[in-house]
Amino acid sequence: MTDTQQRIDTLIKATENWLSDDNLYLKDAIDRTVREGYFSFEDINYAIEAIKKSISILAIEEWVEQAGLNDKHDASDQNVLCLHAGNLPLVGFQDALATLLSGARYTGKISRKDPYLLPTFLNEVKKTDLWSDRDVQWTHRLDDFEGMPHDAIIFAGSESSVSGVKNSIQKLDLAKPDARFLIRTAHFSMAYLDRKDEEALQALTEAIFRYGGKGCRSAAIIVSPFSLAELKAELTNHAKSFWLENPQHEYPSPKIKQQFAYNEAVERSQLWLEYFLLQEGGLELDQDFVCYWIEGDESKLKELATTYRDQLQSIYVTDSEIDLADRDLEVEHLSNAQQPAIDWKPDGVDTVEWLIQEK
Amino acid sequence: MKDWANIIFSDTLSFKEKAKQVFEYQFEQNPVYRRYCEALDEIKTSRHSELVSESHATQNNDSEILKRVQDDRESIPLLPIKAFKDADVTTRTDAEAELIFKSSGTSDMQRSIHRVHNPELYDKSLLKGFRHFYNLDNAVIWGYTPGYADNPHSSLIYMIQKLIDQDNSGLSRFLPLGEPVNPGAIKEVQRQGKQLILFGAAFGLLDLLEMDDINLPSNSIVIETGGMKTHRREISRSELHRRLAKGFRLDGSRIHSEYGMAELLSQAYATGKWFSTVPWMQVTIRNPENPNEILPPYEEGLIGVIDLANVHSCSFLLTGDKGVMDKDGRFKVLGRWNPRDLRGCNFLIDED
Repeated sequence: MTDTQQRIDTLIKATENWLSDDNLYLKDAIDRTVREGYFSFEDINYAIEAIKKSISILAIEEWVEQAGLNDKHDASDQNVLCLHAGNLPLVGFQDALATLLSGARYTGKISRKDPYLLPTFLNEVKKTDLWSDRDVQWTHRLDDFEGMPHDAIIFAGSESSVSGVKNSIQKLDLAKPDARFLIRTAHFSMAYLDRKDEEALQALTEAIFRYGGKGCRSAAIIVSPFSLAELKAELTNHAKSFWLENPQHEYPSPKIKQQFAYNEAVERSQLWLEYFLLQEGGLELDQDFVCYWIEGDESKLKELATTYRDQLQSIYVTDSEIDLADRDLEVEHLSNAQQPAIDWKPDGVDTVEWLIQEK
Repeated sequence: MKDWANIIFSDTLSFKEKAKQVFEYQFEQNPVYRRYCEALDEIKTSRHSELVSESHATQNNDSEILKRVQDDRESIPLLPIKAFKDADVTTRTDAEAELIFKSSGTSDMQRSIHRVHNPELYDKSLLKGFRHFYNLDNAVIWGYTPGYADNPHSSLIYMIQKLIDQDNSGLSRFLPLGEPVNPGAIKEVQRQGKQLILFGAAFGLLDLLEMDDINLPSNSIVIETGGMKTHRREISRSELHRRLAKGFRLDGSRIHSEYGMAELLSQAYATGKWFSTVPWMQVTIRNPENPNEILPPYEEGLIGVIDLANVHSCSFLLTGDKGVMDKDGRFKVLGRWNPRDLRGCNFLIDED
């Protein structure tokens, strides 16, 4: 058996153990995460179910194949540092898995905003014969790794945060002189809603409201041939049902009330829901809990995809025949917004493929 | 109609009393501001879920809203300044504006439009305001900006033109762009015993210095009008002032700043590190996450302005600028407020 296949099999086994119903460590981590107010139980459960659904031996093997990972092309000689964000439960899982799959040694800075969940997976990995304490290390404090230079560093950032992160990396001597950086900057996704049937609206509801709209896969802009006014009643009902099953964990700041009043002032159509504001136009993307509705057709979608290209993670459609290939952006089915495939490409980059690239 | 100039520039009425009168007038006459106040009031007193309806029902008792702000100036809602881009912010909905000011920007950008129905009031505000800080009667005003004819919609250039018009010596003028300053003109200002006051935007003034050595008389004042960040260049205010002082061979204390915008009919000036306002304008620093909250001195937030000279548009405005205030009510402008990139993954060194 090849080393790559061995890693695949071992990771599948470790993941199965991790996600098994009798894993008390995971149960305890979920319990603490909820108790200490990091995320709601429903959101954690949803994230775990999404991982469960996405992982299978076939899915991993397909990922490995398309990334070109094999024993000759792997990252087994590399130390990789992953700086995990904590905006959603287990948001760093794919990076950790990709790093381990690639054969690299994994160093993880676990987010203080999601401190318990990912370590339970990493502990399962460390229980296997393939990975030792030296190969899989993590901490909640970046300075614990001071003086451990890495070959590659992965993190998500923004114009305002990247320089601070890079300064800290330099100060703590965490990067080799020729280290490669994978910095992701996409912040939100966009949906095209050209159907208003139950299934499409249900999927749209998940895409907008799941995780309080905080994921980069959350739909922040909706382009639709229908006006917001036309769908107000349906959207209200769907949102209410969603929040009945998934009680809102975090509430918007008072600033959102000002935005509501502002929209009234300038006579902008809007829909104020319990914890969210949907407004027609006025694209500013400067605050949480606001989703923008743009009435328009496919050409409007393409125009916005071009305008927001650098910030856009994915475009969701209800009809897979819409072709946006020329925009070089991920186009996915709306129902997959919060349930990505295990090999999905954040910022259009396959993490495994990036890790095994030659310097 | 009231004689607003008499009220706004009155030395006997308190700011609070003036603000109350202006608020009442704008609440009554400015539909955009009225809708804003009513919606804010409604949302404060309603459960969120009751606000699903398409538009607010005007069930609020006007007198209640007016009463609430009557004794508490700080509770007067500040309208986000972007309203000048999205709507016609005016109390004179049925009248043609005599002047139109637009914010700077390229043709494909959405620009703020400020319809000025009473230019005399702006004239009085800008002249009285300038005199509050400087001796206009002995000043020669130079503007290193495009002239008024080329920019009829710039409130800044309108202001400089008005200041130039006050000088009978014939020495005040817009300097030709792209040409070095004529040393003879500087000498003539000196010969006539006048004080030279030079206006210009940050990089305009730096470009002027690039062309030639300029040795201004030591009592001159250079007033930069902002523009520290352009598409191509960016400079901090302190670095700009250092370079201007060095370039014009002036003491650092001779480099001043002006804070104004198309949406405001009054200006603030910084003759040192901090900006001060004219008596009919007040600034507060607001919590960006809760703009109703006024932040204490030395905490950074959004600059909120009450400019009573805006009587025919809206006097109560929340800018998009970041600022900080000292305990004496002076303030600094720290650039545009950039909201954190809230959505999506973002590893923040202090939080994650």
